[in-house]
Amino acid sequence: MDVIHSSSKVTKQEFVTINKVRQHFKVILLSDIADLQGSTIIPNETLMDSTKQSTLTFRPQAPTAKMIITWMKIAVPILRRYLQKHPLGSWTRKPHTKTWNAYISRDHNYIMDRKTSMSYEICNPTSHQFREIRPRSWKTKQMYPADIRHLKNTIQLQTSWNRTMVTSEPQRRNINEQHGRRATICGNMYGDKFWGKVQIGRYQHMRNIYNLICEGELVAATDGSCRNSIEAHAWCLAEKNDANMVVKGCGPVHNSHEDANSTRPEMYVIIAVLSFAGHVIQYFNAMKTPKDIPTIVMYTDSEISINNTKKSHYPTTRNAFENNIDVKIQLSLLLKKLPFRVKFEHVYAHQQGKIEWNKMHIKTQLNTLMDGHTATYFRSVQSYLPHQQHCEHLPAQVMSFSLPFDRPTPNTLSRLQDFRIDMRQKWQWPNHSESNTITCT
Amino acid sequence: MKVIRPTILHAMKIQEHFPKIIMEAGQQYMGLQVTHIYDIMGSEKMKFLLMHLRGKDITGKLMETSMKHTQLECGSRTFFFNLDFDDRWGKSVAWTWLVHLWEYLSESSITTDISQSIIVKPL
Repeated sequence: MDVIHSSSKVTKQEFVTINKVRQHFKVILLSDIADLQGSTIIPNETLMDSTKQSTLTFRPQAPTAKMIITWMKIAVPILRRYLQKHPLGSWTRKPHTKTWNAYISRDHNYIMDRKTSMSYEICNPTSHQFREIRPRSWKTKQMYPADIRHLKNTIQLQTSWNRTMVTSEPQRRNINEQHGRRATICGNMYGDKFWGKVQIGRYQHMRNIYNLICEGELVAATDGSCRNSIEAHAWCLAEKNDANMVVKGCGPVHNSHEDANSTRPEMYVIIAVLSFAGHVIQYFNAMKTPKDIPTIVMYTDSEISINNTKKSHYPTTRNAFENNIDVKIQLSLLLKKLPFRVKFEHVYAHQQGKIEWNKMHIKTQLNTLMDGHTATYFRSVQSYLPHQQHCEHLPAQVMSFSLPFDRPTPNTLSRLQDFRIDMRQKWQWPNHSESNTITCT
Repeated sequence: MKVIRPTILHAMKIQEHFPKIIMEAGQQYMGLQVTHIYDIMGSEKMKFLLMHLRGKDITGKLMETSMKHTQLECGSRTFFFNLDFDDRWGKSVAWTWLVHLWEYLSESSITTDISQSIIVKPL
């Protein structure tokens, strides 16, 4: 009542009315009408039942309906300002993690300064002398496709990709020039069933693709689909004017069988095509100056993916269990690292039965082709990859909690399993009073 | 008070139209130092209250009960004797002997420090 008394908007008559209703509800403190978390005010109907158990003898009141309306319109909005904005148990203080100004690479051969974005390479390991790395020799760590297993073998995969390109390019050039046959490269570490397959177009080779990317003559079309809880993606790089397909690829999407959805392959395929284009430029070891940065127009039929590219996803403990967060973070990181600009354009999907092929726009034609190209993966591979979404940016976190019951109830266990939380220390009789330690992986 | 005051002044052998300023002023201002009857009543009430509260007799317990009821009606965390008595508080509580004392204490700017058991403490 002190708060309402000090409010200048409340008149004398309204104050008396509010006080009568307050005594009728048997309210003294704000916690009497707030929920357990202190974040919302209990409705009047629930309030009537909960306040009957008061041990204090209040003066009997008989508020009318108008008086209760006055309470709801005037008193409740004032009291709502003083509710607990941060629910009990939330993490309110500053995190203890610290952002270092310098970043050391995985192989410890260069250091990057975050403030100046300059890189330094060790020139003399014995005396720890560093020299500045020019952007031309900067090696990006772009991965295709986004997967946590990639992180474990980053260096190996990086070398395997380079080796694949190095060994296959002269062969492809010979094949293209002599026989005119289609050359095929694929990630040779796990096979094409795991990583997908990339097919170079006829009479094309890597240098030609690189030139087209640098001239800004290429457009990218992507499509992802989900059938029977199996996800697949397909993409292509085509020439801007005549839609001549230069390179195309298709492959699986790494996800669990239970969480199959259509959003993940749509974002996954963007990572795939951008990674391929990034690898091509990285292979030729050419970083353009800012004036000559090319732009690749990307046609996608997923507006959600386009919206996600505009956001900057940072790994936090809050979004650790968000859907497809690993792909979102990977995509946002990739867009920052790429040596070219990407312009996204939305395409209406499934137009093949509605519009004639000749009247279709090029972007619609490419999307329709990619829709059919995903089917090639479904035909060849009929099983899903048993791979679950992981929080690659977070280490295994150990949390401890105590349960008010003798043992974890089935509901609690199923809830933990939904969040993929495993019990490290299983419940044992009779040490039920001790807190159970769980680990989140 | 207007009705009783001439009679009281006559009993004190003071003419009823005597200037009030000189009558109620202190000796340093050459006044008669006559205390206002309202102040006498308030101070006597306060003495009466403190006497019974300290004695913990039946009257004191009844007064304590009445104080708790008034505190519940106010719904404030501050002891109601220390609140500013205005129309809002006056209209929202039942008019009792203690509320009359509260009105006098508020006008005289007197603060009290009575045991906090009367106030409902937060959890």
